[in-house]
Amino acid sequence: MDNQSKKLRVILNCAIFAAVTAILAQVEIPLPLIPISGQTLAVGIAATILGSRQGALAMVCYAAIGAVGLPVFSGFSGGPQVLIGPSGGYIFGFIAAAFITGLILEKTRFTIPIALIANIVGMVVTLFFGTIQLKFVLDMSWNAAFIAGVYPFIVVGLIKAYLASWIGITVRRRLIQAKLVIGENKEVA
Amino acid sequence: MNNSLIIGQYVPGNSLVHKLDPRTKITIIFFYVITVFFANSLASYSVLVVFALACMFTSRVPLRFIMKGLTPVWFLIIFTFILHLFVTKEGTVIFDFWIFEFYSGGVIQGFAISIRFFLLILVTSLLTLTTTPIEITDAIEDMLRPLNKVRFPVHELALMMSISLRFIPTLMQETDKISRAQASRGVDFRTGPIKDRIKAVVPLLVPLFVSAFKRAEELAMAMEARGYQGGEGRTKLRELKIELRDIMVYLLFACVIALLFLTRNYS
Repeated sequence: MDNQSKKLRVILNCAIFAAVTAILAQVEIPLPLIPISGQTLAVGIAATILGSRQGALAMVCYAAIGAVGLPVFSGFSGGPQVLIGPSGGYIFGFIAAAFITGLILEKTRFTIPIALIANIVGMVVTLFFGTIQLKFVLDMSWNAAFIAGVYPFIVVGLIKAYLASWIGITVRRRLIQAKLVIGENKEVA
Repeated sequence: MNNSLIIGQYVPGNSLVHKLDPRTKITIIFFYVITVFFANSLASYSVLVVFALACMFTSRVPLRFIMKGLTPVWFLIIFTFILHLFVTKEGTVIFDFWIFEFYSGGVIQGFAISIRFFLLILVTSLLTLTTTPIEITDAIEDMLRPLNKVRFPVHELALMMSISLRFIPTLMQETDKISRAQASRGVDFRTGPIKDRIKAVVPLLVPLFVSAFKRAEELAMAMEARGYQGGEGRTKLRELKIELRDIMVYLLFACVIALLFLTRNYS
């Protein structure tokens, strides 16, 4: 496979993953008390399946199609106003989170326990970006920003990290079996 | 759901705002968003409000669509206002209630931030209400072209976005089909213990991802078979063109900015 051909496949994988993220962001897994939106879940899965560079690229694409006006962010919101709005930081955070989650996995091994740790780190990164933008857009104090932007998401975030690592690794193995994704050398299909 | 994810928030129309080149609209909104943060007096805010309302009325987008775009942020606007009311302790006490004291500074700052917020959202949502996602993608590709010099993959990003836009409806149908197929096999993620429900998500997501990746591979082969060789020398189906009306709007906007800086409070 030559270079151009590989590049095209990266473009298409990321494009399709961005589309899947857009769809999952609208799906809610109905758990009692805390319904889990698929948005952050999809970020974790993207990083776990695609790895750092492609995962981040897929999230860039996701943010971009949201910015041009498709209601692909959670709760059918979309447009540049979401990105510059108070919760826009979380969406920029997804890009960084996908990159870091993928990087940790690439530097170690693609197993569920490591994926869990990587996804928790990713969650922290997302919350970090989200809170900073929340603070500055709404002119809040740091304390208020933490109360509004971090604490409510920790428990749900941990559940999502677990789900993302589990589903991500499972799907990744199936995709490697189906020869749709090329695994690392040490990875057992 | 299906419909809104395909066309986005676009409301078809024939107004001046609809007909403007998407690049003009993006440029103006970009600078508007920046200048909103420079406003600090009643007069300068009025200039911005008048401009935003003028755009809104020229676009002839029905008010209910605009309100729909604002719904998710009403809560935030009110929340910020109340927050400033309680937290900011500047100026004189204008209202005293039980243990709370409201200061004039808080009311003013609350108002200013709420209006700033409202303007940002109104103007940016006008872009997506009057321009199709594909038009905006084309415009972004065109505007980012200088970045090609620093090896930023502009064409690739635009291609990626267009394909993503194209595949959202397809993959949505696929998701629907898979969830029906699995439901008919007895997968149930609406009842039962939490652990079982989480487990039930896997047979939905695995086929979705596998089929998505298969589609990507098929599309790659189809594109190569038709001779796709990257962005170089590719021609366009839709050409963007700057017309007289775009230039007029730029001039008008320049006046608005000048007026804003004249009415700003510099003390």
